[in-house]
Amino acid sequence: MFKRILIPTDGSPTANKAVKAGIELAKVLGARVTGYYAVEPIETSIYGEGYMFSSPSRARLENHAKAVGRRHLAKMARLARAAGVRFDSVCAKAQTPYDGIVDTARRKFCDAIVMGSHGRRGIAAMVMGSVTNKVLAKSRIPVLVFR
Amino acid sequence: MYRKILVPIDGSSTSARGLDEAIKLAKGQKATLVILHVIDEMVAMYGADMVPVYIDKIFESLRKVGKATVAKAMARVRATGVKANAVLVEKVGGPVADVIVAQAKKQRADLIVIGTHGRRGVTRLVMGSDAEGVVRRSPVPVLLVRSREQARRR
Repeated sequence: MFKRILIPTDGSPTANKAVKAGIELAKVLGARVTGYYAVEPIETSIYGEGYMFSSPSRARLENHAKAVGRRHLAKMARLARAAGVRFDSVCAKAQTPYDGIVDTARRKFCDAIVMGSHGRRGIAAMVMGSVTNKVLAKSRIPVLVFR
Repeated sequence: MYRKILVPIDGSSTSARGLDEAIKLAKGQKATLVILHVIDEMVAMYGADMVPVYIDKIFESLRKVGKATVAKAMARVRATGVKANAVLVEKVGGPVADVIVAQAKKQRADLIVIGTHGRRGVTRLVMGSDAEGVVRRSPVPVLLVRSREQARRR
């Protein structure tokens, strides 16, 4: 069965559910877990037309995003350790979260992805997240989706 | 972790991939599989006004094919020593996703495992349903397994 499970998180309640269940599944199967948090590039345009971030504040925002990611991954690491599951994590910049998820799964030789059905993105993505949908379309390994 | 796994099948290689993953998963945990096949009588209904005489025969043949599909899947599961029950559902119209979700509830399954053909846009499942439809309405987690042909292409 699965030997190495990728669990992406964005810290949302659904993701937390998937994290818990994914670690439990890894324990049952004797698999290891790779946690993943995607640090998205900071878009200037979404903050208003014509306004550009100075590069120091952009760097500050990115550092903040990385710190948030590391915190979520540290939480996952604690859960994994408590369950006796071998764990490592990746907190890296990705063009989009789904690219990051699929690429990291490939690079880390994962054979399954466990994730929540929707994360932090807007009302439209509440029902079934766009990230999840794109992962389903792009991933060649099985994807276990939690609601 | 999982006790009862619902596996919708349609006899395609895609659904076989889903079934194989479900068998592997069930084996280690002594879970029971519920093999679900949906006979969509709508397929026959499209031509019903043209050939009213044959409609019963068409239904009969659909049922026969459905039973054979389930029997084949059951044989595959039993050969591995995993316990399984079969459920055959007939429906006319409506999304297959609804039947899958309703059966997940009725059978008290705690996981759905299903093969998918990944295409651009929607991710198609066995029996022409879409992944989104099942995941959105499912009361339990859904394991989506990509068909080999599609997986190789990427």
